[in-house]
Amino acid sequence: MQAKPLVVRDLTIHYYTLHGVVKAVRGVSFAVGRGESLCLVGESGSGKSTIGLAVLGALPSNARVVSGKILINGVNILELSEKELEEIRGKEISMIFQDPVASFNPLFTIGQVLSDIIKYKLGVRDKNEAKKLALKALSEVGLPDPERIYNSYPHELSGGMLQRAAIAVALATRPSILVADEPTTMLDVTLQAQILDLLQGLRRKLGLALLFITHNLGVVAAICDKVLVIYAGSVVEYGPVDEVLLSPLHPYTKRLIECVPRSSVKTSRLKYIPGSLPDLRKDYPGCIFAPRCSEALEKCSRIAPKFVEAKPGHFVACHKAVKAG
Amino acid sequence: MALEDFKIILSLIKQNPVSLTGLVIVAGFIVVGVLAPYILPYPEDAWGEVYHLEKRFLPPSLEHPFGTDDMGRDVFSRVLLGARFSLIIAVGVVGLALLIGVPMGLIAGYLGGRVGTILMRITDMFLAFPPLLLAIALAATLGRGLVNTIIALAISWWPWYARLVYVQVNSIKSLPYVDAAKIIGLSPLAIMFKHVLPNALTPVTVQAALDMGSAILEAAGLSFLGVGVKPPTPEWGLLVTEGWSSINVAWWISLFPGLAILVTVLGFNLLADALREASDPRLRRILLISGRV
Amino acid sequence: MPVSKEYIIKRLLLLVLVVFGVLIITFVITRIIPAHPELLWAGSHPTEEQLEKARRQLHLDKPIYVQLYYYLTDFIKGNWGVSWRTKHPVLKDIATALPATLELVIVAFIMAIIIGVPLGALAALKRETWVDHVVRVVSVLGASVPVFWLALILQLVLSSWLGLLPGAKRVDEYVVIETGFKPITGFILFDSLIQGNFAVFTNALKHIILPAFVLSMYPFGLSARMTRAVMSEVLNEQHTRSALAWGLPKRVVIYKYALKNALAPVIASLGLSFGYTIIGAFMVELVFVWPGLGLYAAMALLSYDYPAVIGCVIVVALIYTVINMIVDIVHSMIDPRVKL
Repeated sequence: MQAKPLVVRDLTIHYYTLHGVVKAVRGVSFAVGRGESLCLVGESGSGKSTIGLAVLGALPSNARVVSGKILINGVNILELSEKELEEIRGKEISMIFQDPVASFNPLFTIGQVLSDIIKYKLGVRDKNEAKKLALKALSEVGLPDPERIYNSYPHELSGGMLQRAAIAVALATRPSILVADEPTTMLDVTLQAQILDLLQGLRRKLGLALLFITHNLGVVAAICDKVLVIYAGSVVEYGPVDEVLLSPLHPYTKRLIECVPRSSVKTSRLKYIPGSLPDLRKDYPGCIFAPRCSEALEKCSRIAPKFVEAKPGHFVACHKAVKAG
Repeated sequence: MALEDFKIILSLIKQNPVSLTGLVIVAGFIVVGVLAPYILPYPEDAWGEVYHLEKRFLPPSLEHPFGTDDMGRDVFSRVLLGARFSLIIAVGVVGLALLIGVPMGLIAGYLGGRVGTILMRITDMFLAFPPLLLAIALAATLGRGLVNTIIALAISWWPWYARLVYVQVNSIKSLPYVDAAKIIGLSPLAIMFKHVLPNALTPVTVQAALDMGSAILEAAGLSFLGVGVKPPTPEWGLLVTEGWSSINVAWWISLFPGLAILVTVLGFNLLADALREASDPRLRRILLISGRV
Repeated sequence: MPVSKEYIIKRLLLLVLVVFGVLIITFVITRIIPAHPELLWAGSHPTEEQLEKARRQLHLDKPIYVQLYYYLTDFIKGNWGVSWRTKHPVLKDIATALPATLELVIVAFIMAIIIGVPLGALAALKRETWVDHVVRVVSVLGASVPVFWLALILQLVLSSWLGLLPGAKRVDEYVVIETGFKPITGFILFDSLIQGNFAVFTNALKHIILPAFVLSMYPFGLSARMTRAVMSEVLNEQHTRSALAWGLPKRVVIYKYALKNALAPVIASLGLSFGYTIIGAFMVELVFVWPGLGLYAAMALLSYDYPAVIGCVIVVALIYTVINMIVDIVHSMIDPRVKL
C-alpha cells in the first residue's frame, strides 16, 4: 500500500514569547490519504492554525517543533533544509488562507504571481506557455473570463474571486496536499458554499489530500470525511464526520455542537462553553479540558485519559466516554 | 496630556540600549545647557570678547582639553556655553512652531470644510519649500541674531506640526467616542479641547521633543551660511565656522564644536528612532514621513 | 500602470498653484516683512542714487497689489534682478551654475540609494541582530551629522593631510586645457563620457567623490531607515507568507515582491530629502569650492547679495516642487491602488 501523502506523528510545538514558553501543540497525530479530507476543528487559540503552518514548514520564527514527525509523501520535512523545504512547497503541498484579499501582493497582478509560480515550480521558461498554463489554472477554478482575471490587480477583484484565484495559484503546480486554513470564514454565506463545492470537486478530480482547518461545524459537515477535534493543543476526538457530529463522545465536542445555533431547536439564548482556554504555558497532569468540563470525574484532573478507539474508527480521549462506551 | 503614553514611551526607551544611550545624551545635553554658565573653566573666554595673544592656537592639553582658538580663547569653555545657546534655540524654535502649528492644525482639522481646506492649503504652500530654505530667506531678510534665527526656523517649521495635528484630529474626529460625545450634547469646544486635543497632542509633542536635534542642526547650518547668530555668540555652528580659516593650523577649533553638534543631534535622533521602532505601525509611518529628519 | 492625461494636467495645474504660493510667500518675505525693502536690494553701503533706483525697480511708490503684479510678471519674464556680486542677471548666473549642482546631487543620490536600500533590506531581514543594530546606528548618524563640518573634516584629513582625493573644484583646469575639453550640457561627467574624453572623466570623478559622499549621508540614512521600516512591515504581511506557502523561492519573494512594496515609500521619502540635500549642497559646495548653485547661493548670502539669494530660493523651491511631482507620478506607476 502506498503511504498516505500527509502523516503527522506526535507533533509538539512551542512558542517562545516574552511572557514564557507557550505549549501550543501537545502531541498531535493524524494522517490524510489521497482524495481524503480531514478537518481540524477547534476554538481560536486551539493550535489548529499552528499545525497548518507547521506542515508547510512555515512556522513563525519564534515557534519551534519540539518533537514529532511530519511526513510528506514519506519524507520527514522537519529534517529538511530551508532550501529543500522551498522545493516541496507548491510542488507537494500548498495552502490557502483565511483572508483572500491580504493573500495577494497588491502591487502584482494575479497573472504575475501565477506565472512566477509556474516558472519557478514547473520550470516553464517560455512566457506564452506559462500564460497558457496560468489561464488554464484560472478557468479550472470556475473563474469567468480568465484573461481579465489574469490581468487584474487584487484590489480590482472581489473576495470570492480572489479566494478562487488563490486556489488556482495553490493548485497550479499540482501538489498532492492542500491545507485550507478557514478559507470561507471571511466570505458571505452564499460564496462559502460555492468555495466549498469547488474544493470538494477539485479534491475528487485531482485526488487531493485536503487538510481543512475551521472552527465552523457547519462547514465541517459540508466538506470533510474525517474530523479531528482539538482542544488547547491536544486531540480530544477523532472519527468519521457523521459519527463525530451525530454521536459525539467527548464532552468538549458535545458542547461545541450545542453551541451551533439551530432553527429547529427553540432556545431563548445562545449557548456557550463556560470558562476559557487554559493557560498554555503550564503542564496539566490530567485531562486539559477537566476544569471546564461539566461531566468531569474525580480522576480527570489527575490522570490523563488515553486516546482509545471507543467505537470502530471513532477515537476519543476521555475517561467518562470510554467507561460509558 | 496623556500621561499614560509617556510612561509607556519611557519604559520602552529603558528596554533598548541604543535608545537608552540617546536618552543619556539628551539628558546630559540639557543638564550642561542649564548649568553651563556656572561650570565654565574660563568664563570670559566662553562669552567672547577677550584676546589672549600668548595663548593662540594651543593644541588640546589638560589645561585646555579642546585647545585654544585664533584669539587664544579656551575652546572647551566655548563649547560648554554653546550647549546653553543650542538649548535656547532648540526650545525656542520648537516651542514657537508648536504655538503656531498646533492651533492651525486643530482648527483646520476640527472645522474641516472650506475653512479647513484653506488653512491646509496655506500650510501646504509653506511645505513647498524644502526644509531650511525658507529659514534662509527669512534669516537673510531679518538679519543675523539669536532671536531672528529662532523666528526664521520656527516659521519654516510650524507647517509640519499643523499637518501632523490635522491628520491626528481627522482620524480622531471620526472615532466612535467623539460621536458619542456629540450625541450626549457636549459643545464642540468642549469636545475639541477635552476629547480631541489631548489625544492628538501626544504624537506631536513627542515629535516636537525629538525635533530639537534637527533645530540645533539647522541653526548651525544658518550660522555656517552667515545668516545665523552673531559672533561672538558661542553657538556650535558658528564655532565650527570660526575655526575654518585656520583649520590647517588648528583643526581642534572646528572639530570639537562639530562633534558636540553630532553627538547631541545623534542623541535626539536615536531616541526618535527607538520610538518609531516601538510605536505601532501607523504612528511609526506618520513619524517617519512627517519627521524633518 | 499608464498615467492618464487628465492626471498630468491636474498635476500641472497644481504645480502652477504651488509656484504661485511660493512666489506669494517670497513676496511677503522680501517686500512686506522688511521696513525698507530697497535697502536689501541696493547692495551693501548703497548710495542715495542706488536706493532710488531700487525703489523704482521695486515699484515701492505704488500700492502693494501693483507691486505684487510687477513681481509676478517680472518673474515670468525672467526678470529676476541683477546680482551685486557678479553684476550678471541672476537668472543667467543660476542657469550657468545649476548643472554642476544637479550633477553633484544626482551622484550623491545614486551613492545613497546603492548603499542605503540594500543595507536597509538586509537589516529588515536580519532584525535584532548585530547587522541590524549597526545599520540603524549608521543610518541615524547620517541624519545627525552637520554636513558642513563633515565636509571640512574630510577635506582636511583625506585631501590636505593624506592627499588621497582632490579637495576643491570640479575638475583640474590643466586636464581640460590639455585635452581641449568643451562642455555641452554642463554635466562634466556626462559630457566627457559621450566625447570619450576619459582623462577629464576620471579627473572629474575623483573630484566629485568627496563632496558627493558628504552630501549622500542624509539621503543614505533616510533610504536605509525607510527601506528597513517598510521591508520589515511587508515581510510580516499575509501576502508574503502566502507567496512563500505557494512555493515561490524566498529570494524572489524578497527581492522581487517585497522590495517593490518598499519602493514607493522609499522613493517618496527620497523626494522629500532632495530638498534637504540641495540645501546641504549650499554648504558643501562652499567648502569644496564647487562652482554650482550652492556656492553661488552661499557666496550671495555671505556678501549680502539679496537678489541672488532670493533667486536661488525660488529656483530651489521650484526644483523641489517639480521633483515631488515626479515622485508622485512614479509612486502611482508603482502602486496600482493610487487613483490617477
